[in-house]
Amino acid sequence: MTDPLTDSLRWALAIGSEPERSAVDWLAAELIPDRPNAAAAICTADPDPGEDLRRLRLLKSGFKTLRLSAEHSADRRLAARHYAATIAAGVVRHGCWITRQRPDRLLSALQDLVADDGMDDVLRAIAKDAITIAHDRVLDQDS
Amino acid sequence: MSEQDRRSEQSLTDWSMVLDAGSIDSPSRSASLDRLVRRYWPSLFACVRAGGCSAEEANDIVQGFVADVILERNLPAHADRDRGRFRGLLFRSIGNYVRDHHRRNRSLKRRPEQGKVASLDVEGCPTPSDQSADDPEQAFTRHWVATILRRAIETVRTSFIDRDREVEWEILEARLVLPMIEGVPPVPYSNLVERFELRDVPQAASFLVNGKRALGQAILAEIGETVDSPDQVDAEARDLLRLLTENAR
Repeated sequence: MTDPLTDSLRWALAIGSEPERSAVDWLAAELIPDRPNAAAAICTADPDPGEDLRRLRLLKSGFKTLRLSAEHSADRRLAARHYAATIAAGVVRHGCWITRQRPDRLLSALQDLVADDGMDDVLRAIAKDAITIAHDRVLDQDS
Repeated sequence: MSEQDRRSEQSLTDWSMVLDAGSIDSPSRSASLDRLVRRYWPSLFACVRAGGCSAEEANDIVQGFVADVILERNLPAHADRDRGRFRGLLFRSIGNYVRDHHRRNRSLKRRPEQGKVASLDVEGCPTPSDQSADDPEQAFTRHWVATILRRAIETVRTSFIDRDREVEWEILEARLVLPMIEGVPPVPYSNLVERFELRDVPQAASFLVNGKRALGQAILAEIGETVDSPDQVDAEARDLLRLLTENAR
């Protein structure tokens, strides 16, 4: 059983040590509680394809809101990167864009993620794979 | 209390409050002493209770400690920021005071009264269910962290409501604050989406994250009030966490 007092000190310490990361990791934990952090929530597939797609859509919607509503610019920037990574995971694992945004804008966001060496390697790798797939064929898109 | 007084009170850091409370000539000494006692009372009371005293006896002991040690011996004047946190000094002092109190009581009981030795009764001893499982230091720390947390929650509540972010506050309250302080289960996201007419669960969750982030920062700010410089905040938070967890039963 968790203890609210120790939990609250742990968050406070997480903010102190990794101020940017905590917001996206907390959001991922709210939406996909069985994954340890945001990168794992995006990159670790659920064995059930339908459930996997549902989870990716949840994450995408959460990061999308956070990139607009977060109070700090660092949180918004990181949320935007995770938003792009989640869409990339949709391309790699399900062969579709899980968004209605224009593909050229999506590819631009994915290229920015690949080029950002401050991001987790696993997220950059999934973005790179998605770019390759999107260049090879036309992908279905959310209507 | 006027708004100006309230702000001035809030701007006084823990250390400046302690120093002011210990300064005999300060015109605001009485107010600082009052704040000091109110802020630390729950921790002192919990510490004495965890030592095995009944609620009534603990109340008497803490009152005696405030009168004899904080006021009469002017404990705040002996606080030295170079020698550690004020909470550490307070914890050691209440521990000594409780030991002296029990020693005096035992010696009174041993003294023959009208030729008889007082019986070793157990009157006033709390039943096991009347006591927390914490040891005195853990009880003191637990209540001190709870005090910090309550103040941080109030800061976030006021800040969110002042900036027309009631929905974010209410989501934070329903999902995190009330479960923490009242032990109730978090309100399901689906209920919150319906109640506040939100787009979907992820939107509600991202609002919660904003609130959680604000609460974490408010906790750090509260801890910052109790240390000498900002670079000690992390160490103090880790120390409090260690005290809460290392003896957890």
